[in-house]
Amino acid sequence: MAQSFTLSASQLLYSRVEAEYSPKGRSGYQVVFHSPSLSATEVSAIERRVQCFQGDGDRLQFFTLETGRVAIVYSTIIEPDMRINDKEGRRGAFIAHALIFEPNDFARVRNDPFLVLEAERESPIFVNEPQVLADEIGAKKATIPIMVSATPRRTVEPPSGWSAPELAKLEDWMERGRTDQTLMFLADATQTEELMSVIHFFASPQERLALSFDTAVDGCQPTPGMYWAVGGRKRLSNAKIIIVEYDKPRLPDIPPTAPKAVGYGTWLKHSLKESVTNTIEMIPTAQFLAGLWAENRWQNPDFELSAVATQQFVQFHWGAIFPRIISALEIHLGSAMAQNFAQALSRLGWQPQTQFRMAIEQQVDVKHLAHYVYHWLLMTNTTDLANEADKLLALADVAQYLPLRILALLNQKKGLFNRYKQSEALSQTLDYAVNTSLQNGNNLFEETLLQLCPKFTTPDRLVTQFTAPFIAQHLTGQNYPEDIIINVIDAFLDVGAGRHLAPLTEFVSRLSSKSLQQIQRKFKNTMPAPQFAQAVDMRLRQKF
Amino acid sequence: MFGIFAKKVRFTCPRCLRQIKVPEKESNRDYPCPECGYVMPIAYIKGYETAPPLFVQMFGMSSHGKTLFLDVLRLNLMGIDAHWGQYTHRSLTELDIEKEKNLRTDVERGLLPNSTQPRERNQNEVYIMQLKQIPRWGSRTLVVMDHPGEYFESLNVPHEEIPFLIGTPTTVMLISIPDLIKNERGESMDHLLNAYITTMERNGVNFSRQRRKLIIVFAKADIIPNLSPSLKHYLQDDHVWSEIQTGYGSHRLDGQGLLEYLERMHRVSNEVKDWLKHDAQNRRLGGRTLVKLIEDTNIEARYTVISSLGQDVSRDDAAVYINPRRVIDPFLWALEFQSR
Repeated sequence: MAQSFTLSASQLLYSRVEAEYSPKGRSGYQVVFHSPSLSATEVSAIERRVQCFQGDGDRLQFFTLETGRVAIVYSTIIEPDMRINDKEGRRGAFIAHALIFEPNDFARVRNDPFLVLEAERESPIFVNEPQVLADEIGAKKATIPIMVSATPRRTVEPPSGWSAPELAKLEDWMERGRTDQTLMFLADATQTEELMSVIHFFASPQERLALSFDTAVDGCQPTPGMYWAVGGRKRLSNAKIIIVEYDKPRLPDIPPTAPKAVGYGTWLKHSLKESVTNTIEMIPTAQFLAGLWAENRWQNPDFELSAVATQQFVQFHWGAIFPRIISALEIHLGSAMAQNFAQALSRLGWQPQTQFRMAIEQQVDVKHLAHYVYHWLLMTNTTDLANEADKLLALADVAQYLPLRILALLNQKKGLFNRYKQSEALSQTLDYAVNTSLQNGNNLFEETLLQLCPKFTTPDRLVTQFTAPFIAQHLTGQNYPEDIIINVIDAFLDVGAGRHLAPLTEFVSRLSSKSLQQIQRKFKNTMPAPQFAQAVDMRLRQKF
Repeated sequence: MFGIFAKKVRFTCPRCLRQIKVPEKESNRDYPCPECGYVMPIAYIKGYETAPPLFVQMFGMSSHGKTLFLDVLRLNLMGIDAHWGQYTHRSLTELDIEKEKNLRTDVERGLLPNSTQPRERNQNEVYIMQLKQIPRWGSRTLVVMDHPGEYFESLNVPHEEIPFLIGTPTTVMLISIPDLIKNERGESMDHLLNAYITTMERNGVNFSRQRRKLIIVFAKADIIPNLSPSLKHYLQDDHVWSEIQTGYGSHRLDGQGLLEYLERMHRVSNEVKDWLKHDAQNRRLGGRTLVKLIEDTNIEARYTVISSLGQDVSRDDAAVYINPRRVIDPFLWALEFQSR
């Protein structure tokens, strides 16, 4: 066991003893020791459940006390020691050893008694011999430490006769919990223990506490409802004891409980019908996710979640998870865009675990979101996002994610965005430049844009009302060919950014009269910077 | 449809003693007690009038031999048709059938019964045996519950776990003098009676108005060192078991033979009472106080001596083949008490 933690259990020992070993100084069956932490009511409640045992081997019991404490009891028939147990040496004497856990402690093993039993097997605790009993009575240990693996996991194999539909029906009974009815498995104690191990493996941690059991009730007439299930070879005659043959199980149908939005039980039933073997592999992950959903709180798993199980679980509950994802996204994307974007999450490669986490936490890592929105904008067919530009810009600013900001800005000029999307080389260059910028710790848009401009041959594609001043500043002093200069100036005028053309006045002297005439024609639509307009006007007059 | 005028069947739950009244039509099936959930067999309900129940409550210290006595009594009642011509017996529940089977095999293998475990009231096992055409008393249904001796060893007897104790008039108090002699804790027979009386009084039993009946049974009598010679002779002079075993006997327990047997039981009862009062050993063990307490408390008591095994058993004996003596006597006293 590489890493482990210690559970602390109170204890109670019950057996037949001679007066010398009795706390009351009398012979007979009795509680021979109990931890002082147990109240008289608790001692009495445990005693009532353990005192009758007519088996011929071992018995395992699991139940919750009214105080919320949890008891696991192991009983075994002993060869009585005439000095310690029975001076007459009569048959049938037994020792019952109860370990009692605080609810919070027991939750650390996910309320699974069989994880405690596995730890017990590693390092035996239960008293099963008269002399050990006598020693324990003398030792008066108030608590028993139990070393449990820090990441306890187990697996099971369902009994061969139990088909997937019967196991699925069992889930209905598990969900219903303890009622005034009790399931009775016609089986020996070992078979019942194995079956209960499977049932507890299938059950969610929340369900487990209600799945109390007693593996050997022959000759003890259990009260219906005292346990969720009992085991025995002799059929009990009581309308509230539901007999289930271990070898040929046929569970009565009961109406399922009201389905929960994200119900582990409904998933389990569905999954069992698909494949029992796969379900067993997926159960730990599904239980973990369902537990998080129930608590409405994310917690990092202490084991490797199965990607397949997570995907299946999220898919199965998509109807409940999707609205909560939308709700988380709406904060950044607004309702319409959130709806569209959420539908593309899987296509974008957004991991099911991340989707699930977002649904639970109702918040999203903005950098992560900005990155995926950027890629979504590139692949989506929804071209008209002009109305969403403000939201995209805000997200890009919060996330300080430049590629998205650039896309948002480009998007403000209809058509330009589409050109950008079509230019793979351009987008790659843009990505490269932005990432470089990010890696250098310089994530200011302006600087990035300036770095971008020399990297592509047609900077006009980047011209918007917002980018124009920076592009103009960048081009100053550069030796661009005439056709590029013309295109850029054209783009300035087309997007209504003529007022930012002043820095480009120096280029006017290098342009042909034909080009200048073409530019001047556009002055009618957009007023250029006066300095630029005058330079064009003067140049044309000089030539003609 | 049935209304309040429909014919009702009345009976008593053999586990919790609740009085039950159901329309006759509903009595044609096993019936669960609304109080304790015990499922009463249809034969018990049907035979309630013709074979009324005979409740037997045992009271005695741990390992004094209560369970062994009940087991051996049952073995006697399973085979006593050799003495009672028209008599038949019938086990009414699965538990009883199982018990019969186990008893027969245990006797063959020489096994003694287990130590009795405590149980909750609604877990108590009830043994129901229908006994038809018993000479003198007719048909009866013997209803027996066994409880561990530790219940009776203090003044706080858990009476709620033992419904017969308060609810039925007759109790069989079983005492093993050899165990009291060996006892190092100063237990005595008057302590046991005191526990009984105190429990009754705490539960509102007024002994002066309501006469209780006790059958005081001295078990393991064959190994009581100070047993009087005449009582020793009475114990040994019992042929019931040997004639059950052989299936043949000349000591029939019906008609005149039964009357003579009962008269002898009376004499023995008085003799045991005197022996308790006057024997020095018994006085040390509280025998005299026991008799005095019984008389002072207005309890009607009968005294018997029995041996369930008929021999002293060593702890090392691998198998014990029983030869019981006078085990039928307490049963006959119970019949006498509950028939008046």
